[in-house]
Amino acid sequence: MDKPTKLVVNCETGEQTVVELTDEEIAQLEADRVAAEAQRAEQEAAEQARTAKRLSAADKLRALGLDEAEVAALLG
Amino acid sequence: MPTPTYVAIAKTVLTGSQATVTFSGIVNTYTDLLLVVSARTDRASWTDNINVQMNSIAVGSYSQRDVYAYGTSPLSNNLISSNNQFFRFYFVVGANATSNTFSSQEIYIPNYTGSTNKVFSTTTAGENNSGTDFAIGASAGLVSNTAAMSGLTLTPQYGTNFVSGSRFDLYGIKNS
Repeated sequence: MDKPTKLVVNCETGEQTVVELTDEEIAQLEADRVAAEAQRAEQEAAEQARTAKRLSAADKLRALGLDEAEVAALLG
Repeated sequence: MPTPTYVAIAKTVLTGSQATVTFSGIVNTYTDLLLVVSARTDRASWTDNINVQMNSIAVGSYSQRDVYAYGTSPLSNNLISSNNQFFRFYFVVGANATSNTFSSQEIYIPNYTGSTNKVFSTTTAGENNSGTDFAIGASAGLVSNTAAMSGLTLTPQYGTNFVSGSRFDLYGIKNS
């Protein structure tokens, strides 16, 4: 299987060169992607937890007698 | 004849897939730089991001503040820690977006040859002929490094390649 490549644009000469990535570069890109996926999953989990808290808070406000407009005004 | 303020330094339109795109040997004769990107990656999603690294500046030198909205999500903001490896450039178009659509993105880097830390700003719109999947973003950031900037490397955050048709234009801007 062909290795992934990078395009290098030399701004001084205008030359554009396609170069195969080294094993080290490939490993670094893969590590970056794994880290990005982990970060994305963490952010999604945090957002889901925040949404659950908002829904819970809304229910408690309704139980206190606030109407929907008041709940919306408080929670945005 | 007036002095031109925007000068095209380099441009490239990909004719095949590339894992990264690097601008090297950026001359120091301008005041500011503007990078205009119209790109698409092979990520199996309608959107992706781009990691941008200046020169080969080390991990831990990048920090940024972002405001963005995408899909049906409300406007959000996010502070990425100062321990980042690169600055993140939202949103490039992914493989699941409408065929032949590309992002509209700009990075502005003032005083790129100065001896102080480098700042940057970005604006972006993820193009997609969909009623729900579209994205906007803006970022302001800092590269904690005082070396003159002579290179920029762009890499998809999630996808493995920028795809054919992706375009990258680098301009130098003079303040006179």
